[in-house]
Amino acid sequence: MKSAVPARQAGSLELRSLRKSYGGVVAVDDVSLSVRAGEFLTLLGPSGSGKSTTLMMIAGFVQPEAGSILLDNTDLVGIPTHKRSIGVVFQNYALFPHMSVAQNIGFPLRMRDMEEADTRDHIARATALVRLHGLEERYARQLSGGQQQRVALARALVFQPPLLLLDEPLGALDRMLREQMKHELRRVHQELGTTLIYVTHDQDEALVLSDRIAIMKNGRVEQIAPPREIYERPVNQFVAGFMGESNFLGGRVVGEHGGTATVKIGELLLQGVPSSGIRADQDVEVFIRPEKIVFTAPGDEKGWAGTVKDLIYSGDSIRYVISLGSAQVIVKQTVRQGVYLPARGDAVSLSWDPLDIILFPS
Amino acid sequence: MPKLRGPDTVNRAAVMLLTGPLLFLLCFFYVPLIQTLWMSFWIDGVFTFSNYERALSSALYLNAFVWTFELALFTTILSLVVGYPVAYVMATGGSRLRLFILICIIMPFWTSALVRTFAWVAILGREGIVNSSLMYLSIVSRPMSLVFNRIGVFIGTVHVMLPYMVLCLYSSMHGIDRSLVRAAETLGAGRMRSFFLIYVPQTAPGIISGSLLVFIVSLGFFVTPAVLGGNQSPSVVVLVERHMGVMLNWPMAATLSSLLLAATLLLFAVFNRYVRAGHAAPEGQGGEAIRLYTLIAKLDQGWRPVRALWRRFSPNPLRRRRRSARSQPRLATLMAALIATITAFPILLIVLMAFFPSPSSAIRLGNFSLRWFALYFTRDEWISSTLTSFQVALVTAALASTIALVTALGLRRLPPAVRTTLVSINLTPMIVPAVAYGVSAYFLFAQIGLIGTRISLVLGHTILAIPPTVLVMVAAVQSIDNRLEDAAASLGASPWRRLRHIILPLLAPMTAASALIAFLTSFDDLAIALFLTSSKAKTLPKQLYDSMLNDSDPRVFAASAVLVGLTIAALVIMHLLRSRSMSERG
Amino acid sequence: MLKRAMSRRALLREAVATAALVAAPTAWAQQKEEPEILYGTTGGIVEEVQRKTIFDPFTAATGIKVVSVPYPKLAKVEAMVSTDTVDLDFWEIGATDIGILGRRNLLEPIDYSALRSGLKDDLITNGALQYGVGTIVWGAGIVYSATEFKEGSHPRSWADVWDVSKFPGPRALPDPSYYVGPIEAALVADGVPVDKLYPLDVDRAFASLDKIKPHVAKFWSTSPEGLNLMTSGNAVVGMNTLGRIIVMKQQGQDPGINIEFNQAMAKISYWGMPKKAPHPKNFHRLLDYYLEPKNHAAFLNAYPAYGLTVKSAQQYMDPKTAASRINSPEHLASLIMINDDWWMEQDSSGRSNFEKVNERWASWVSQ
Repeated sequence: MKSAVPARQAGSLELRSLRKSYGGVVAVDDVSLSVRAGEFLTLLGPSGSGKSTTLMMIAGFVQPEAGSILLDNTDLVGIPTHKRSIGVVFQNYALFPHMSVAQNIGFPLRMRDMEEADTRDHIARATALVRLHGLEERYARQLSGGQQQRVALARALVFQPPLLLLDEPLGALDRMLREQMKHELRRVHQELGTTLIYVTHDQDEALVLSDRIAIMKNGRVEQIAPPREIYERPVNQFVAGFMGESNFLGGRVVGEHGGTATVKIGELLLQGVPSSGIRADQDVEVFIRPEKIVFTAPGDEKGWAGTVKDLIYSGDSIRYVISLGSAQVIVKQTVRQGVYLPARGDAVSLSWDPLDIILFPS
Repeated sequence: MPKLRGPDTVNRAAVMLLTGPLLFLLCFFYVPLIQTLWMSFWIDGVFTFSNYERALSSALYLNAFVWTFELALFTTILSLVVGYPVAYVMATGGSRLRLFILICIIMPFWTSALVRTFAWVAILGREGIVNSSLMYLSIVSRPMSLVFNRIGVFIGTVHVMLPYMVLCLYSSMHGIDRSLVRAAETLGAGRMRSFFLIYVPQTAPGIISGSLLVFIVSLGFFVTPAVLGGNQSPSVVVLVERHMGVMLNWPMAATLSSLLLAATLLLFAVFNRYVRAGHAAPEGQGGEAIRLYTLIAKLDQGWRPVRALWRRFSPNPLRRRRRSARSQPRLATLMAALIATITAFPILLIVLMAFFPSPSSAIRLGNFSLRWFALYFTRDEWISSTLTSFQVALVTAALASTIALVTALGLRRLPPAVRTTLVSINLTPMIVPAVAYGVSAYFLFAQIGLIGTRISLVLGHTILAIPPTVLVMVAAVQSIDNRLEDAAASLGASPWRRLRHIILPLLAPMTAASALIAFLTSFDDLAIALFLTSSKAKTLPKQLYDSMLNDSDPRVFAASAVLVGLTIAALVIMHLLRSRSMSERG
Repeated sequence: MLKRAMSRRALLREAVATAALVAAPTAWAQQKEEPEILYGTTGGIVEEVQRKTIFDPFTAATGIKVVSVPYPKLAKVEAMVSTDTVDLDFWEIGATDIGILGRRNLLEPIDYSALRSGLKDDLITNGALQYGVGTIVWGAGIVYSATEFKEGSHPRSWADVWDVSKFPGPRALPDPSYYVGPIEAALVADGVPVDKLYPLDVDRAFASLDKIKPHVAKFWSTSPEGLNLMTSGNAVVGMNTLGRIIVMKQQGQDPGINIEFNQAMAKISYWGMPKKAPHPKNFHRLLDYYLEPKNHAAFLNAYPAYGLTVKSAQQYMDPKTAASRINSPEHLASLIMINDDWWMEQDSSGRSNFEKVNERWASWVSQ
């Protein structure tokens, strides 16, 4: 398919030691990362983690105290927002209420004094890209949330910025629309190849959309990696806990040999766990995802015996809360024919692959 | 969009709300006014149009009309230009800055128009502080003509009109989404262009209500253009006053008042047709913003060649701002602070004069004295007139702002044509020269036995205060999102509870602003006081006017100083109480 | 309450009827009155002096209190009379006001028979009118900046005021809507003798005004405005009412302005009483008291800016104040008495000279 609005080829971004504080509180603390041209990077983190401040510094609303922002090797620090040519989609869309859809989308072109005919051409292609035909003369107030979202996207893309910033753009939409827009965004990104930086606190969006995800906490980047690596190989307890569901069990390494460790959790003993550099006699948090745990036949000697305390049904799967003596784990079981699905109060036996376990120092 | 209430219930509610205010206007304004204007058709008991013939064929009267409208128009434009940055800074700056500006811009109301204009004559005159500073700095070699010409007139009129304009603009800026301007910047609009193309159009309702208000109040200027102007025609109200007050020529005074009223209403009709008339705006909301944007966008388009040249010859397209740029005070803040200071300056000068009894301009430290304050505080007529003014202004503020609130709510969901007509009916009291209304009111209150009472002053002042308060409240009510009320209705709120819990809280700040405007209107009134004051109820402006005209009694300075002091104290205390209760709430 | 709420027309009808009843001036003579008089006043220093020298002794002697009420505009007087709500017994007015109000039957005639005999002859010319008794003489004259012109080499006549090469600097002259006016001054400056001014040659006056107009900073319309022009340095010579300046100097304040009494202009102020005034008897008693030569002199000696209207009071006048008194014998020779009759004269269409001059002025001044 021919690209609707051809993007500029460049669009690589590099942040070097960015720093910003507000009244003594550090909002962004020494953030460095680089984004390839055409890449989809998501900044993910709880509120107050510095992701929005980072975005605002890239857009130029906020001046960093230190560090540099290189877009295609040009430092943007000190350059006013309107000369940066970076597209931004705002959380509340920020559509101009006194302009029609066409005027909204045409605004950046007007700012660049584009010729009348070209402007019409560009607006037509942008509206086609986001599938907004026939709404050109409407005003923002007359549009649904999803339509407003598309106008905001078209407006941010129509002037072919090398870089597009999206600040929690799907937050205000209902679930159905959110799913739909997620796929729209993916499609547009793939069609245009524009570099995209996406801020969200929704891990699903991050996993679905991103080429890479940067997890932020307290103004710092905790881990930056492709979605699968973030999910399966979190570098620390925060990333592991923030991304997806997790079980943490307090334990102690009782033996370590050749990269594998033996861990004692209460009375239970775990063997063959990747030690990740943790030595013997260290207290650890034992991390394992709920879906990595399976039920074995009751009474299985190798398995760990437990009791079903509660279960939560959520359509495609069931989450079991299992008590293992003093500890407690969550087990996620996909619902399909032939799978053993215990009831509340049943005695069960659990098992997992030790390679799915990650140890974090306490 | 489905309306949650049928048209019948809307109209019934509107009728219920509007009946009271309209009856009030009818009884206390229209009936007496028409009685007076009716006199324009009578000469010695004979019905005739000859007064109109004479008024319309005389160069004196025609020039007076031209000058009156010119004065109102330019005052409006200049107040808008000067008031805009002030309102902008009030809406976007910190609360302390807002307090400072508010104190400064309402200062002109704490002294009599005569004193205020005399202070300007002293400041702007040949040997005034402006000219002496400029000459001392060798910027000019001869004194500039800053007064007794149009410059002086407009400095004087804008000085007084500023609070009206600023409060209207402020009300429309209050709810503007700041992210829109940011959005425009990301789309390539510089600060100027995002300000004019994005911010300014959203303030269109405030611009329109502020301009209307200033325009009609300016039609009534009396002392200011006479004292600060040069050799120009008298304004219409001066002629009305002369015919009524000096020559007892009631028919001619009534004729001129009727003509002024007719001309103004005609102007409004034209204005409504061309400026406000139906645009394809969604649900009738935001039409003004769209119109204004279209206009500004056209102007912006005209600058294209200039921008093209700039781009070509600009030395460095990616010129950087210094890192600290954001922490420096903005240009607008500096401008607003300067305007506020200039506004306060003449009044501060008057306050200073109160401490220095020498009438010549020389203020020497050795002259410092509290003599005038002693004379002010020990005289019953000064203290009692000050108290009367406060009482009357407070009751007027309460009454007028209530009427305005009820009227605005009643007008809320009426069709635009009906609304426009009803708003005009509410604006008329300000278009009629106040002396004409003052004398009409006297006849009315004499008939119902209220002459010489404070009630008559309150009723008269309420009539005067209805136009500005209604304008402010209509604008405020229009800015409420109908969806909020619909949402409340869907949550099970009855109309009364919707009003109490949704609409009224949203309107609270602007109701306070309208009460302030009503207070100031009452506190500053002289024209009605000339007729309705008595030995038992004399207001401060009448007292100041008498003293000033009689023997330039320096107690007028002391009175102004006391009022300025009280106002600053009251506003600062309110500010402190509010910030304390805010911090207690967390 | 109900009775008062009758229609205006009824009120007017009643007013006419009442007017017919009181046609005989002494109709109120049998009326019983509260022991008070309502005085319409703007307050201030004049009233303070009046209280001390006239009202307080009068109250002590008669038990009648003089109560201050707001000074009314003419329109308010008409409104009060026609609605029968007169809250006023007397106030100070000019001859032109008396002319206008008298023609409209809004003033009660003065009952000279209730005053001391021979008073009419003891009053100065035009001092005893049908509707008012002259109580003071006030004036306007040449004023000049004390810093700009040394006393001795200052402008001494209206011709000097018109002479901008000999006495350079901006002028401050009144607008003729203020009765004491520039028309008389312009004619005198142009060489018309002081005693042959009336009837005024208006064409000649405007021709003379043409010459000074470029040098006039401002034609002012109220006396404090004119004073402010001088004290703020916007004008260095011109015309102003003299009272305030004289009082300031007497109180030891320095306004920086001096007065030249030569060719000053004077007007009589009258006490008048509106129709239906509540205390006409008391008012006549006060008038009689005040116009006693000694009492008259007591007030004027305490307020030296005003001149006498009772000729026989001259013997009691303090000679020290003669220099500042507008119509003291030493100033009398060159004094211009404003002729209000000429100003109120109407042509066949009912328009007065005052109206016609002001209309002409308005178009002349804005050219």
